[in-house]
Amino acid sequence: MHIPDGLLDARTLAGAAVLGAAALGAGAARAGRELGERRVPFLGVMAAFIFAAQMINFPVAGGTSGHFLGAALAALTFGPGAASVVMAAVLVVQCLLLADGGLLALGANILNMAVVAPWAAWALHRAIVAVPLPAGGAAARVVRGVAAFVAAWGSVVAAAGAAAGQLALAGAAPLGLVMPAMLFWHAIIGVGEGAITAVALAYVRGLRRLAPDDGAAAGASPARGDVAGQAGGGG
Amino acid sequence: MGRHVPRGRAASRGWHPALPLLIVLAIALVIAGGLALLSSRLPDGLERTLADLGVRPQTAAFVWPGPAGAPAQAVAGIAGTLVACGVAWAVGRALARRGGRRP
Repeated sequence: MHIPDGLLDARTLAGAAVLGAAALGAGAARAGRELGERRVPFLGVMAAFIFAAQMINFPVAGGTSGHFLGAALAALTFGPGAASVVMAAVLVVQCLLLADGGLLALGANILNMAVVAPWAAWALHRAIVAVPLPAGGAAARVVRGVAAFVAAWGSVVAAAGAAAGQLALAGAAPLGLVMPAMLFWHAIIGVGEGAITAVALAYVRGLRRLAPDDGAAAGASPARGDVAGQAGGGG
Repeated sequence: MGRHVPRGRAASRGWHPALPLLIVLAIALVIAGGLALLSSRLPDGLERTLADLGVRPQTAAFVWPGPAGAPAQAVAGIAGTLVACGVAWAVGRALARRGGRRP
């Protein structure tokens, strides 16, 4: 989903860069409140994992491949602000080191994958867990897994929609063609994202139980839709 | 990480609290340095869409001059994984300290 250089015009590039920088700044300010110092190493390892996982493209259908995005995993672990910071770090390193995504299109890619995707995941997850859930047991685990799956799937589709909108705005392709095509392929790719995220979040919950109690410094609150926070509270 | 007093379930099991994170980091390095070489070469969703619509980038992507091929990709993957970890750690630490100072 990394937009290369040479597709977006200057107006769209500049607009996306300004929007992406503003949203990233707001996310960074929020991250300061979401993170405690003890969670910072976890943040670094999450960035490493997402960077590595994004390097693996898995075949989907019709001669197309997809890769793990990781925005939902980060958003549901740390909150959307810190997830934006993690994703932006990954995208910058990918752009500079692997030429994955254009340098001029970095702002657009940050807007799509470091802003739209984590916030979409967080909002979807929050909407699902707002429904009264069973207090515990297998049913609650299933609902949490389904919520993670849907949030991750939605994050990929939302980011793809944003990318399609930018391509249409730039005049690279008509909106009526590029939007359904992008949504179709990423709806399929999102299934893999959802499955990986649900499994990875279960592991993250385990890590939170194994890690020392962060107390209030963790900043992980179920009210903010922070899955690790919910799990950590029980550990 | 070295200053905190070990607490929680990891400590009660006799594990160093950083062990789970080191395991994840090791997995990430193995993926970036090895498994990523097995990545599918099929076009991703965006590339497929652009190909179907006949859209091509009007400029070539800039690539740092240097060796190419599997060994270079493995080195870049490992280096990128570590750099991404370091950047996120450094930025996160600065943000957490700033957030902690706020009333």
